[in-house]
Amino acid sequence: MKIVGVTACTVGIAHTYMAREKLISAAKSLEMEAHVETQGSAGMENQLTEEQIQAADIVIIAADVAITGEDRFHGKAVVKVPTNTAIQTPESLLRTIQKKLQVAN
Amino acid sequence: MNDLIKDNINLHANVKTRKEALYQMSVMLEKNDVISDKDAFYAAVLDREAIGPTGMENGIAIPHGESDVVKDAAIAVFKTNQDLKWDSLDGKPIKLIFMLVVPTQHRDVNHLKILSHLSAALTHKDVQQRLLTENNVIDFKKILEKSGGM
Repeated sequence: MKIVGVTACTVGIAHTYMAREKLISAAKSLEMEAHVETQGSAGMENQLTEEQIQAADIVIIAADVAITGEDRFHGKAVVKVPTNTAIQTPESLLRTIQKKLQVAN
Repeated sequence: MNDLIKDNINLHANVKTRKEALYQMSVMLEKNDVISDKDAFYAAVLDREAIGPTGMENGIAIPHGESDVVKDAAIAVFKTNQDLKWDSLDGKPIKLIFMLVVPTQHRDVNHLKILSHLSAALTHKDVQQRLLTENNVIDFKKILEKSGGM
C-alpha cells in the first residue's frame, strides 16, 4: 500500500511531528510506502509532491485542525483521524485501511 | 550542539501532582531567565492542557506553552521521584516530562525544528527506555543528541 499523509495539531509543536514519525515507522514495519507532510509551527515540511499524491492508494489526514491544501487530494480516497489515533495505534490504523481498500477493490 | 535544555533540567524532581510539576517547571524557567513571568507562562501551559492529553506513552509527557513572556524557545525536563497521575494515551502514569517552551513572536524556525525533532525522537521505544533509566544530566543529553532529538 502506498500512503501519503498530512499531520497538523492545535499548537503545532509536538503532536504534528509525533504523528508523522509514528505513521512512517508503522508503514516501514508493515512494508508500506509512506510520505508524510507536516503542517506545524515551523511551517510546511516534507511537502508532498504531485507524483507522490498521484501514486498513493490512500491519503491519511491526521489532524486536529483544518489543513492547508486539502484540494490536492480531490478524487482520492481520504481517511481523516485525530493526531492521537496516528500516535497511539498507527499500525492498526494502517491495517484497517488496507483491509477496507482490499474489500473495495 | 543545539542545547535548548541548558540548565532547565532536574532528573530527581520532588513533585507529587501534574500541576505541581508544571508550576515548578515554570518556576525553574523564570529563575533561569527563559521566561519573564512564571504565572503567565503556567497559565499558558494549563490552557494547552485543557485542549487534550499531553501524556504520551510509557510514562512520558510533552506539555507545552506558547506565550509572549517567553524570551527564547527552550525545553525543560523533569524526571520525577514518583509517578504522576496524568491523562495519557496509554493510561500509564507519567515519570518523565519534556516541557516545550515557545515564544509567541520572533520565533526562530531552527528552534522550532529542534522541538519537532525532539517530539519525533520521543516516539521511539528504545529512546524512551534509555531516557527513563538515565539519571546523569550529561548522559541524558547525549541520548537525545544521538537519537536526533537535539
